[in-house]
Amino acid sequence: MKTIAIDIDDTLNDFSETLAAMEFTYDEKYGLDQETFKKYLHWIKTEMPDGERKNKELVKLRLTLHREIYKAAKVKPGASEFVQWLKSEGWRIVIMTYRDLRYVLEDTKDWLQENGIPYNYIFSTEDKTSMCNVWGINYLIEDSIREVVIAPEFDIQVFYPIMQKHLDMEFETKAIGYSNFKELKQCIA
Amino acid sequence: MYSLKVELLKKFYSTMDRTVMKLEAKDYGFDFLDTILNPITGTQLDYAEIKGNIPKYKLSNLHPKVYDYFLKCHIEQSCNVCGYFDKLQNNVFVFNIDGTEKKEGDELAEDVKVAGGIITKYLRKVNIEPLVVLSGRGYHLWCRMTEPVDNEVLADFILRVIVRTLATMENSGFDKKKVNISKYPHDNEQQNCSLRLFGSKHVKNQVFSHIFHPTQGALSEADSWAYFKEHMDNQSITPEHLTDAMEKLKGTYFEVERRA
Repeated sequence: MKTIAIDIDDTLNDFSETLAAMEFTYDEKYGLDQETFKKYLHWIKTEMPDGERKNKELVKLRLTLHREIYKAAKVKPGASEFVQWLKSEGWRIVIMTYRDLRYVLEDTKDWLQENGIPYNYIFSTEDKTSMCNVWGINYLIEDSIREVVIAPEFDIQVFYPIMQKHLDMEFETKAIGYSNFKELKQCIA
Repeated sequence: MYSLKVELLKKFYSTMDRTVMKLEAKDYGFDFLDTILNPITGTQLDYAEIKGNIPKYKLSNLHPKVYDYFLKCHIEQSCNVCGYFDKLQNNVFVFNIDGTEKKEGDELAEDVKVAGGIITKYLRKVNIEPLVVLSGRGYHLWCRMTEPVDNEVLADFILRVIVRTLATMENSGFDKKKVNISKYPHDNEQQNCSLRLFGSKHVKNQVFSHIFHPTQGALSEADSWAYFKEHMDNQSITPEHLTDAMEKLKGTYFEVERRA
């Protein structure tokens, strides 16, 4: 059986756009003072400084805010139909995410169901290339630069939704970019 | 022998949710999933994850016999079962102490050992003898109750001990940032974190979860099982004892020998 791994955030949904557009107002429930909240929110919306990646307060706030985004993000046009098509073609579908499913499994499952996205399994990992490699998954749909560059080196066929970050990418890749799911379907069919 | 140990584990962790578990195994792949997700038993895979090269499987809808089967595998050392705490009340609570920095070999970081020692000291002050179990990079300090107690009460008690421990560490020149102390169960209804049960070898480093005896130090595997039972029979505390301990802890603070 052919198996394909599919990322969620910025692949099936518009995570980054929703995050950029959503306004979060300060609330004492976050357990931070207003200035810290503002600083952390900026990092969450832009980029986390390397030295702050183990900052527990920051990680907790990011998880809290990301949960809101996971619920609010919209499915990309054609995504549901594309995954349904894969299912009808007999593919084994693995939803492969960086999300910490200890905390957001139900949100994730609800979103997939509400948007009519079928799947066989949900996998969570910080290293999708290794997980695909070890599990014998030869196809990956993914936006992350890291996987787009590295995974093809392990004979994993990667398809990525072309975003600005890919246009700015300094690395060469054998991965295939696509503009919409119709185009992706043509690549895979 | 295995069935006795299975029953011991079930008795010790009697309030854990036996319809779910996280399974840590060396095995992986879709054929392996087909094996453990046999449709006759109804076992479901909520998700699989790889962290630190160990495949982990969050399983749900477990039939009691399937739960027992995996406990047997846990005892036979072919996998690790991590249990989920009840969402409201539990008969066990745990201080999970880990080092935040990677160390070479099996040696635990000094700050981790110090933290474990200080927590034990605070618990003994209020007449609680923890069951100290070697985990991967630190210790699990299990405390068992004779009856289930609300998670909020348990979490409150644990937090009071942790706060005192970190203060003692800081004032004695130890680096509390090198230690991560987490509490189980949590103080909210979302008990979504699991913890490895006593009695298996760690899937990654193949080290058995040895128990540290209060006077004899690290015990052998056989002696660890014997002490596990002895501790359950003799050291489980009543809810009244916990209430009393909460009171006694007020105003209690230790200094320890400063780091050289």
